[in-house]
Amino acid sequence: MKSFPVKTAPAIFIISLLSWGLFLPLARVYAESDLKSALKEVAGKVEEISELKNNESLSAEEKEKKELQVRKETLEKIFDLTLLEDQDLKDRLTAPQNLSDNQKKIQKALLGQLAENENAYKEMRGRLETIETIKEVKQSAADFKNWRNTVYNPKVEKILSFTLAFQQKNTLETANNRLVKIKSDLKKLEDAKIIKKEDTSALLKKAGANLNSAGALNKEAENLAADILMKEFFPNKPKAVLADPEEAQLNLSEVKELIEDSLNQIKTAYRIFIEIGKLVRERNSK
Amino acid sequence: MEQLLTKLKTIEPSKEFQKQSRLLVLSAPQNIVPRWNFLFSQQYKTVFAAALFSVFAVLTGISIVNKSPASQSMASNFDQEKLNAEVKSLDINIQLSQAQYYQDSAEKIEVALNETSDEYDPAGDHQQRLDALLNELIL
Repeated sequence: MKSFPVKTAPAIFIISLLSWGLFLPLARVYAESDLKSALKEVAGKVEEISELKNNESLSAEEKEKKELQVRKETLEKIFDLTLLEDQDLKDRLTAPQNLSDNQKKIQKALLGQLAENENAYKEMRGRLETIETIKEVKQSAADFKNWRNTVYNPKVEKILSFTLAFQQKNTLETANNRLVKIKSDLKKLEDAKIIKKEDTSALLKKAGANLNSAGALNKEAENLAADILMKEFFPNKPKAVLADPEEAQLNLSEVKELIEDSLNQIKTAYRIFIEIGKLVRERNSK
Repeated sequence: MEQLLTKLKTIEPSKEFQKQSRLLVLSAPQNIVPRWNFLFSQQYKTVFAAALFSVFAVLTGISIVNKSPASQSMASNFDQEKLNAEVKSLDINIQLSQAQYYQDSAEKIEVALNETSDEYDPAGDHQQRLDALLNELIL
């Protein structure tokens, strides 16, 4: 087949590949960026603490004064980051649409758990305003760490397990839309006699199967998360007979694994799209 | 002279002449000249044909151009590197998912609070975890 002066056939394919909003919704990316930069600020303060420890040029008095200031600022940054995360978690919880009745109940319960954090935030705010000694700032940091480990982090785990499947649906939808678009572009190339249907049909079928599998895994994760959290928040049995928290934790990890598997299926589908792109380029250059 | 003019003013055709004339006019074929007829006059024929041909040529050209895959994406050139970069971004975005962020940040904030409180993890991998947190500054 005669080659075109402009390598247009693959270009059409690439345009379709790149122009369909491949990535996470922008709002989420921005939120993530805020969190990352806040974490970076925390890391910067921790570095200051380390540097201060090794600083031999300051007098003991100067060092103590500076240490109080830096440790307090570090704790403030960590507190601010926790508040940012709290808001992000609320946004994630309220984002999903078309929830089932059970999912709405879980959503409400999780939002209630986040609201309970307000007491801890209020107390920490008060402490940060009155801290005057290194001992106080160290004790406040230790208490905040304990609260995060025992109260905050388990809540985050539940919220993530509940919302991950919903978030992933956007990626799934984008991938499926892309498949449709690619099919349409391949049809045009077939009509233009640039490629034959049999050149790409097996690859397209495989990509479709990957996306179907990704959808099924996503649904499984969504249902598993809802089951675990329904049992936890609205138990049918008395609390004493309930499965132990470690088991619930294990199941929540399973939700994450399902989501990861689903994402891997999507990634495989994209690799196939790329393969099709290369094939189209080869055919066009013959 | 004045009398003559007055007399001429009063001259009328005979009734019979009037009737015949009316019949003659009404029975004549109505030859209405179409508004666009001038286009087919010898004067405009060539110009009109040339214009029509131009329009046809342009429309046909657009149609052919649109059907040609070679021209469907004049605006873009195929670039394998771009494609690979996009695949990479896809991986990065997945890695950047919030689940990953929260998993990382929980550990890093714990390290930061250890540093702030001077309470260290008994597991003994404090330095390693501290390095992971400080890596935030260079990533």
